Amino acid sequence: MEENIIRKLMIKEPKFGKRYEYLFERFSRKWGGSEQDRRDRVKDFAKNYELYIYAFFLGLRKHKSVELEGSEKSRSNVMAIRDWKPEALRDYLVACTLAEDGTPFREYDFMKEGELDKKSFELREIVESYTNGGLSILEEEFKQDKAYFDKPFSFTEFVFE
Amino acid sequence: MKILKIELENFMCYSGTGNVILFTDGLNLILGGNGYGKTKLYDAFNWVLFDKITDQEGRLTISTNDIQEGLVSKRALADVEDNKEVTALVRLEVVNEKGKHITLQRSYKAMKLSGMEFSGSGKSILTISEKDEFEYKPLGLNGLDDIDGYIREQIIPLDILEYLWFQGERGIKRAVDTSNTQKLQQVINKLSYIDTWERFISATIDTDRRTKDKFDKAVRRSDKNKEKSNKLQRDLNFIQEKLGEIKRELEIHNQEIERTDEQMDDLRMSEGVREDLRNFRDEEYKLKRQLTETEKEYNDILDKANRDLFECFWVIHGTEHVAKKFEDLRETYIYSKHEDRRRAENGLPPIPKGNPSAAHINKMLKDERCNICNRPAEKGSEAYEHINMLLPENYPEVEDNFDPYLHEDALQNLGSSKYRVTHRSDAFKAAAEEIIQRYFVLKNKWKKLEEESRYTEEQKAILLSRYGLESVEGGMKQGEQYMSLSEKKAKLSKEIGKLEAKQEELQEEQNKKNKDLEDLLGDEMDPILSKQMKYFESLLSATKEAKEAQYNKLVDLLSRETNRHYEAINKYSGAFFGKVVFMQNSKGGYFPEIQNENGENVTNGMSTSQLLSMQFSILFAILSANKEYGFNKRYPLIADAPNSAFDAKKKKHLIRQIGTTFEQSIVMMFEYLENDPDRANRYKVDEEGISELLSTMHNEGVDVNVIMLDVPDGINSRDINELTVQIKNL
Repeated sequence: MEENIIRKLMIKEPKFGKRYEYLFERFSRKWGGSEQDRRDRVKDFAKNYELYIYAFFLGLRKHKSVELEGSEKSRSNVMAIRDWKPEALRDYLVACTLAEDGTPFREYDFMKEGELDKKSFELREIVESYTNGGLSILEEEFKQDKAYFDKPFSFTEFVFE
Repeated sequence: MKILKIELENFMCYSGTGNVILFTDGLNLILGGNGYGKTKLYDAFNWVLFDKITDQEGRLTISTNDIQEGLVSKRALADVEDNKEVTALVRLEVVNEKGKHITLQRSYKAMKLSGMEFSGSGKSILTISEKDEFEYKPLGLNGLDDIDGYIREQIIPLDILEYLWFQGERGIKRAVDTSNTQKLQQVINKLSYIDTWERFISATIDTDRRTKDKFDKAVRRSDKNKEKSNKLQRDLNFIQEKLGEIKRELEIHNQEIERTDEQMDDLRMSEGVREDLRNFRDEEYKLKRQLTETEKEYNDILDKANRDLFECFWVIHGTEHVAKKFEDLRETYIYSKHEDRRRAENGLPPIPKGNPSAAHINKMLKDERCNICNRPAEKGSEAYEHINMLLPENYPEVEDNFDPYLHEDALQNLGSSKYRVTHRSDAFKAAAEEIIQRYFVLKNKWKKLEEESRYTEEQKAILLSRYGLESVEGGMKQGEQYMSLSEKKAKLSKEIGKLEAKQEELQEEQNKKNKDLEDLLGDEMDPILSKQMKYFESLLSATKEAKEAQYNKLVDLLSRETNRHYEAINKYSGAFFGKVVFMQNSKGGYFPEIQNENGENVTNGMSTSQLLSMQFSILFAILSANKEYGFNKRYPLIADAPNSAFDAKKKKHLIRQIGTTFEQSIVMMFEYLENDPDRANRYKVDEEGISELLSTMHNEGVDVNVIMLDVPDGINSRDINELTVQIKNL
């Protein structure tokens, strides 16, 4: 199978800032679990990557991209992008990442293997930066009002505010 | 008998000496808060007379030996040195019906060994003294029988004590247990002179039987008309035997019906109550189901909103500008490929102008002749190949002579996903708002259902408590049992009716044959014996009728008196209270029920306080209706906290009824007290309330003596037993 930039980005396991690990602990079930289990624990996200996707689009919407230094990165990851669900949403996230990078798509056809690898790391960093930006917005809101996200629909309303 | 004075020394919470209460004729009110020694005072009256105090249920079951140093003031025990004794003592001064002044003094000694260890004999000492012209002289009574006999004859009969002295509502409920028809019958019998009639009837039956025996013997001795008389005698014997059988059967049926009645009394539950319970259970199930469904629905909505963030892609809201960027880049990519392809297509040889249609070309190939240049073109020739090349399917392939578009498919997939995710994004916000709105509507519905559910729970508790049930299901079951017993009783009653009709028929035949026999043997029989037999037969019948009439008269009287008291207690409450009617059961016993103006039984719908007021009224009526016995005039009523289930208005009217019904009454209660503004957690007398009572009772010609029990300031109610209660005569 010929390698392409999309496949290379899809196999990446993006990270998030260490400092935001508590947000994942607080709002998502780390290893999944049943819906009932999640509801009982008052967690809004069934998987870590859901909170990750939520934060990515929040950063994207608010144009907040905060680059993540290697030392700041969390040790745990949120699974490879190709495993995220739903698939259409995952693809859309990839499309947005490519769009934000802005490289004309025809150029990818001429890139050699090593160049594609390098580019895929750059694209992963775009994903991580927007997510980092989104998480910082959530943190700000959470610190202002610790009970804000305990209210029903708070994450939904936060999307549309 | 009247109580003149009680003195308490180191008895329970009454520590030290000088705890004296003087009682007067009329109403003696002992006012005290909870834990201020009211029940201990009630215990003192019982202990001095019967050597027992009350248990948690208000029954006189705890003997001196059971409680020992618990009778002695804890404070006195705390103050005394080791190896010293403390004596608990109660002295009661009364004047009996013959005007004799009597004192009863009971004491118990406990020795403090060390710390909290005590020793005592477990036995109290009672001294009874009678006053002669000058002084009290102790009586030399020996043994419990002597003492019991003396108390019964000289002070108060023990069999009516539970109707005169009682503690709390439980006491009155036990004394007048309206759910037990036998108990009520016993009470009526005990407090009336019906038993005298029973003795008359029994004596008459006895004499009648002896006369009949004599008569039978005389018949057997007679020779005249022997054959006829023998036949009549045989017939009579047969009838007698049959009557005996019927009597036995009737006895069995009556016993069975009595047992059924008792079981029904225990389960007394009308169809209306069953209907209430059934409706209640259905409503409860319905509410529970609605609550569960609504809760699930709104939780599902909350889940759905969380899921829709991802599954309906709401999370991408506001990123459509980035999608547009992607689309622009992809279009550029696709355009680039189109351009490359166009360029490749441009490199092909041009199709000749005026190229004939495929139909013409195929005809030329078939004819192997070129119709354009009008010359032959055989198959396989160069001209034939030229014609063949003119067919569109034989045009040369466009060769992709440009670099491959490797990302085309992958970008196509991303494009499709992008379209799926964004094509309805302008409707996301409205969809989310609709769900949120629906959630709050359901949440409000759930809250309302929960309130209804709480209300239903409260109603359930009231309903169950009113009917003394543990659960609705238990009540339903009880109702079913009641119905089944009711059917059984109806069947038994029908059988009894048949047997009684048969009995009557046989008795008529017996009378006829007796008359025939008498006529037959008239000349030979001793006329006095015949007369005697007739006389005792009619005496028996007359006595039975008289007893029945007296009994009915007594029940009428009891009913009138009960309703007089019942109305006086309830009429100012404003609530419906109906009328008490004594209903006769199949065994001739009576049970009370409350009826409305249409004569319908509404007992089960009445409140606890109304039922209690009925029991009070019956008790007052029993004690006061029979003027000849006049228990209410002869003995004092002593009641400890009898009215806690009543509201303020009803309490006042109950006190008034007690005052006007009894020559002397001693009532310990929490009423007519209010918080003392000058002392922390202490009470003072509600002067306005007491003045109103005094004025009312004065108009009725009843004296009122008010005594207040107090506790020194700064004592926690937990320590009250360890300290002294102070008696204040007001």
